[in-house]
Amino acid sequence: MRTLILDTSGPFTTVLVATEASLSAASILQGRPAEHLHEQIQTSLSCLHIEPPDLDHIAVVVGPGSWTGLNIGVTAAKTLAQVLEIPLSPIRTLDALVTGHVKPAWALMNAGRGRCYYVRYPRLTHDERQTMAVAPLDTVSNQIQTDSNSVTILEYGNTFENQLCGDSRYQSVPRLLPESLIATMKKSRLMEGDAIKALKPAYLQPTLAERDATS
Amino acid sequence: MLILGIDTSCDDTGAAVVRNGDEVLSNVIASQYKAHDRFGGIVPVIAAREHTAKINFILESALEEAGVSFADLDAVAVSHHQGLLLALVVGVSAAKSIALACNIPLIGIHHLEGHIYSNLMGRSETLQFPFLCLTVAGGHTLLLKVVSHGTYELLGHTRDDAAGEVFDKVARHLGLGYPGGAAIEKLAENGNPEAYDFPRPLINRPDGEFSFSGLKTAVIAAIDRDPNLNKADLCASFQQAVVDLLISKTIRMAGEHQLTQITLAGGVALNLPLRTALKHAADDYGYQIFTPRSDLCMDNGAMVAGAAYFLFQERGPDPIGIDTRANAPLGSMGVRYRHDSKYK
Repeated sequence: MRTLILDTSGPFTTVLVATEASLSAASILQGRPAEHLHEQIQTSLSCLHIEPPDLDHIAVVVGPGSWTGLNIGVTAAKTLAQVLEIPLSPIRTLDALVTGHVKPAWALMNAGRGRCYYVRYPRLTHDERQTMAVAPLDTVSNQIQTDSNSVTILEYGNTFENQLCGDSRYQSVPRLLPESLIATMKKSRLMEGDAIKALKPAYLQPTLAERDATS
Repeated sequence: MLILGIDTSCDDTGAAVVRNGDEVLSNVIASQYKAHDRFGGIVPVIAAREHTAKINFILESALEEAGVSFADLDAVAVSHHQGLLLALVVGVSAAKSIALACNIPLIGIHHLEGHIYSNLMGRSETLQFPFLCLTVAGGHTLLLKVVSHGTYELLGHTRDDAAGEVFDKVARHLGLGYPGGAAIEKLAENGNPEAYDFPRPLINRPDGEFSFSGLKTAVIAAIDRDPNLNKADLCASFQQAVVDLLISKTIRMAGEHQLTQITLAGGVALNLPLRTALKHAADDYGYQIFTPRSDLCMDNGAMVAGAAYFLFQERGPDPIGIDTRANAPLGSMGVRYRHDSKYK
């Protein structure tokens, strides 16, 4: 089983090809997914001497993350799955962030406008699908600081670095790692048919225009 | 040659299948006006979100309606230049995936070329180069000399607002919702076009330059001055001012550049008073008028596929890494018609 995995959620554009559960090819470039993503896919497949119809499965990071990056990555993955008639698996950014790390764990990510996305994963869980939420940075920071000493704090990026510097529980992660993406992909649900076409990035917040209109 | 055309340059998600640049087998458009209506204009991030949600359903409908499958396609074309950047990247991403998965050529089209070529679709025998093209839409107002496939000379453009944009802003001020062009045209049917003496900026200048911001300000001031005004009269007078400006400059440029065939393109080309007035003016001067089919006036995938058919023969396929730009020069002569800062 060959799986193409796409991640355009952050500052790096990652394209992986996994055969069964092992990494076969990887292409990681900084920025500009609109131009680079499909070139990276082409290069990754070429170096394995395979063509797109040889793929059996696609997985894509659906967010949260860069608004434009996710629109590009999710659209690319959905369309490839639609044309090739193969299943698609959505990967949540924060699930991939904590995969392989000791739990309990906080997974954090800057959401802009002074807020952050967060999930607190309990110690024992067979299912990574904990509820993801968005809240002001200070609120989440206060909750973290009163949490147990054994908790792991992982941030995708480094927004919390100043507030949590010196806290030995804190780790900043600049990009999602290939092994984490592959392990998370294995646990993700398979989508087929209309469910693929209906897949949207994980937009947890209304746009500024919608927020202003509501208020 | 069977081409799938995709357009996500603004607030319409369009996909179409066109055979040999002429025969439109399907032309599916999902409009987002309900998503933007309450804001009185297009919100780019919402447009991008809606495109991402709908694009794959629209692709499926376009193929089903045409009775073909992805495997039957010979090429995929997409608007990759000119429009809302956040929106363009969605269509481009889908088109690149199709090109890659089907191993077919990718053809990147400047959105304005799509509008220009909507006139050639089904008429490539009768419409001959060079011809004049008046492109009027929500984002553009310009006069071009279309010299040959992919070669254009800019004869004039708006210095500020586009004509379609002014229609939308006046409609918003009158509480008519979005999009405003059709609402104003409907109200104007029962109004007196001479009730208000609105300005016609630059109308007497001997060039192809347009300006609509002064007209917009005058109309909005008139609305603000009199809350009980006759909306029909105001709409008719405003519409007449826009039509006068567009027609006078078009006829002048046709004469100056000795172009006897005039084409109209863009969403405002649907405006019936504009079409009628242009026809009458052209008859007076012995010019021939070509207007696109009404389903090809608004943003759509068919015009992109149509343009791609002709331009592919001139310049071949594009690489899979083609860029996406909100504001890009047009054609082989690099026509620039608006400031880069407009989209920043």
